[in-house]
This record gives sequence, C-alpha cells and structure tokens, in this order.
Amino acid sequence: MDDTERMRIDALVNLLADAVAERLVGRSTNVDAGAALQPPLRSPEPATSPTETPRDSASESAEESSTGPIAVDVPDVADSGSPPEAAAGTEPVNEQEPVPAPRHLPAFSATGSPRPAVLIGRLAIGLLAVVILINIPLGTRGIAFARSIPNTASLVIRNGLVVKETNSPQIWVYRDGAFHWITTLDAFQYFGYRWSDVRMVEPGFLNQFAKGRPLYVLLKCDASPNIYQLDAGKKHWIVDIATFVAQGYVWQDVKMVPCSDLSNLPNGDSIPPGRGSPPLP
Amino acid sequence: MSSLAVIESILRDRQSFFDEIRQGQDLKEKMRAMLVSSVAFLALYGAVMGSSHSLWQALSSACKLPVLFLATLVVCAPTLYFFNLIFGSRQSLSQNIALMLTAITVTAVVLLSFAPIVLLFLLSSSNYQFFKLLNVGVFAVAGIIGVLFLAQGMRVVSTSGAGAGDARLVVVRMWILVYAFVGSQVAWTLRPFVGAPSMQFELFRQLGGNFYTNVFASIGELLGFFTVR
Repeated sequence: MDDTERMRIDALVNLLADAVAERLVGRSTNVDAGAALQPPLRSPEPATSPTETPRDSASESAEESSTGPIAVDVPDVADSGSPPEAAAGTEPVNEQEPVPAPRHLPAFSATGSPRPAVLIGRLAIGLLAVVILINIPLGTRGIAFARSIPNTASLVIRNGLVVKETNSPQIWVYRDGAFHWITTLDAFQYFGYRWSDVRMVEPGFLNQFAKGRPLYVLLKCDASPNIYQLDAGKKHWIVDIATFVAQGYVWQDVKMVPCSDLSNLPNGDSIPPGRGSPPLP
Repeated sequence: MSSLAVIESILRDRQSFFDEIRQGQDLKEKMRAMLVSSVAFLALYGAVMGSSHSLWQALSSACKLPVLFLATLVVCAPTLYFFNLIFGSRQSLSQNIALMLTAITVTAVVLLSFAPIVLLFLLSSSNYQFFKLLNVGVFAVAGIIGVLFLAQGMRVVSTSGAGAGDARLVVVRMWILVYAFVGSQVAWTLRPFVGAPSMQFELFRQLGGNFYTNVFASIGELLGFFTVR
C-alpha cells in the first residue's frame, strides 16, 4: 500500500466518522420545542479545524437560529404525538441529562427578552392594578370609571323593569309583554318600586313597545264592601265585580286603608261612568 | 416549581411536561402550581367581567369563575378516569387530574391574555348583549385551546398503555363534549358573571332557561331581530 492509497483511505475513514458522529448527535438530541431554552446543539467539529475558536453559547444559539443548521434535526413536538424515546430509535449517544425546571426563573432569556412566565406575571399584576383603579368611585357622582358610560342601550327588557323617559314625568313598568303607566306615587310605592329601580331612557324609547293598561292602586276599607280606584287624587268607585274583572284587576291589587282616609279623598266619576254617586265608605 | 414556571413549562416545553406527568414526576408539586396559577388568573378575569356592573359583581365573579372551572373538573374527573381505565389506560387518577389541570391552566392563561381586550370593550362599549357575547366567544376560544392541550397530553401520557389507543382517543373526544356541556351548565347555575345593567346585584340568579337559549337570544337582540325579555 503506497502513501497515496493510505491518504485516500484515511480521508474516506474521516468522512465516514464525521457522518456517523453527525447522525448520532442528531439522534441523541433532546426534543425540545423551545430550543432557545435548551443548551444549543453543537455539530461535530471537523477534525481538520482544531484551531477554531470556541464560541459562547448565546452567540452560537443566535447564529444557529439565523442560519438554522441544526433546526432540521429538531422535530416539532407541538405536532408530535410520540415521546422522544420513540424518535430516538436505538441507543442514544451523548444523552443529555434532563434539565430540571428552575425554581427561580431569571427575568430574561438568553436572547435578552423577558421570559413568558415573567411577562404573564407582569400582565396579571398590571391587570389587577387596572381592575382596582376602574372600580374606585371617583368624581362628584361617585361612579367608578368602569361604569361611567351610560347604558340605556343595554337595558334588558324583562318583567319589573321600570323606566322613565327623560322628557316625561311618567314612570312605566314592564309586565307581561307591555309597558304599563304607573299612575300615582301611591301606586308606585304600593307595588314596591324604588327610585333606584327607575332607569332613565331617551325620549321615544317607549314607542317601540306595546302599552298595557295603566296601573292604579285600588283602595278598600274594612267597614265597606266597595272598592275604589285612586286616580289623580280622587277616588273612583268600581261599581261591581264584573267591572273589576273587566279592568284586569286582581285581589292582590287592592290596598286596605283606614275608612277615615278613604272618606277624606274627594270623589271622582264612577267606573263605568254615570252610575251615580259613589257610596260612602 | 413555581406557579409561573409551570406555565412556561407547559407552553414552551409541553412534551417534557407531559412526559413528566406520564412518569409521575412531581405530580403534587405540579398540580399545586397549576391550581394556584389558574385560580389567580381566573379570578382576575372574573373581576374584569364583573366590573361592568358593580364592585360587588366584580368580587363575586372573581370568586365564582375559579369555582366554575374547579367544580367542572371535580364533576368530570371520575368520568374521564374510569372510561380511560375501561379502555386499558394505566394512568392514575392523579395523572388524569394533572392533565385536566393543565387544560384549565392553559385556558386561564388564554383568558388572561384576552383580558386587556375585554377590558377595552368594557370601558368603551355600553352594549350589554355584545359584552356578554364577547365573553362567550373568549371563553369558547380559551376552552378549545385548553382541551386541545388536554387531548395532546392524553396522547403522550397514554403511549405507555398497551393497545386501545383509538378507543381512548374517542373517549377523550366524547369526554370533551361532556366537559363542555357540564361547564356550560355549571356556568348557568353560577350566573351572573357579567350582571345585567338594569338589574340589582345578585350573588346567584334564580334558575330557569339555559345557557344556549340565552346565547341565541342575545345574538338575536344584537342583530336586531327581537328584544330579550
């Protein structure tokens, strides 16, 4: 075997050794989606370049991420359903020890950007501060910023909703598919509404809804069988049960009052009208 | 493992995380960290939702939202565990709960990431139905991402079990449907979370109706077809 043949064989062996080493390193790569968090993988150094200056891991990682020589060997675990052992195949060489999760994360990654966990923590703290701030009642009306925008457009139309158009003194309540005018303050109080229940709405808001019969408060005293409807400060005698029912009233609408209070109220026309003077309570 | 480190581990290195669950490494520590982080983030998102109504509603929603997810986990965990067992899984109950907590943690992180957007609409919009549907949409997205993580985790953790892999995949898919139904029912039971502006603060609202009809009604009102009564 002459020198030329020996050199050729040496060159072939070197090439083969490089290829085998490269493949083994590729197989023993610890699968990791966040490659930036892991120590960068190093290609096997060619035997013919012993004088190359070693690079620090951060610059190497940045360089590799830009050029991507190793990226082809790292499977995307986000889409991979198989464990890393399955991808590894035969006995791994240079198997890396599993890196335990750090108990105290540094605030910045190797690339200088904040870690996701730190960012999430900051986001949570920032949100908490904002939520607290917008819930503090401020201003002369004591309304928190979170609720400072008028919400007339966001009313939920439901039974018991009490509204008042801003240009009208009338107060209406929604019951059984229609808005009913609450005729008197007595009726308003008798039906258990409070001023805090009243929602101010824009003029014309009620035009889009059906109107039901007005709500009156009905008065009766123990000593008399007669029932009166209170309207505009006058009592109106409901002449019989048929009229009472026809008006849509139920017994729960009747408010019991002392007979002296009832006697002191001025008389109005009967219901139905023209049925004579109302009897004395 | 700190509560925030576990999130980073799930989001960036989920394969290793699921492998550790499969091997039963530090399960208790992981579960504690996930529980703490998810409760904190869900409470924060709940406070954002409830702020549209009142301070009491914000506090109430901050308490109720973590309860909603944890109650759903408690209700659904036995189903997942026993069905997996029937189909040949070797996972322990702790591993199952750890996977479900992973899904809840991911859901909580996604909700937290949506919180600034929801906050923006809270401060710049006054339409209750829109705000409600926005939150429904955010929960749907977060929930889907969460259960995708769960399915992926199940696949990784189940690789040690022998056979019946397809059957277990079907079980997971069916379980996700059950999880969604149970979650929506628990949410309906614990409502309100946002609080209708025309109503006084209530810790719980009386039962009646269901989640799905209410969502359709809200869509109808938002599009101008009818008014929610």
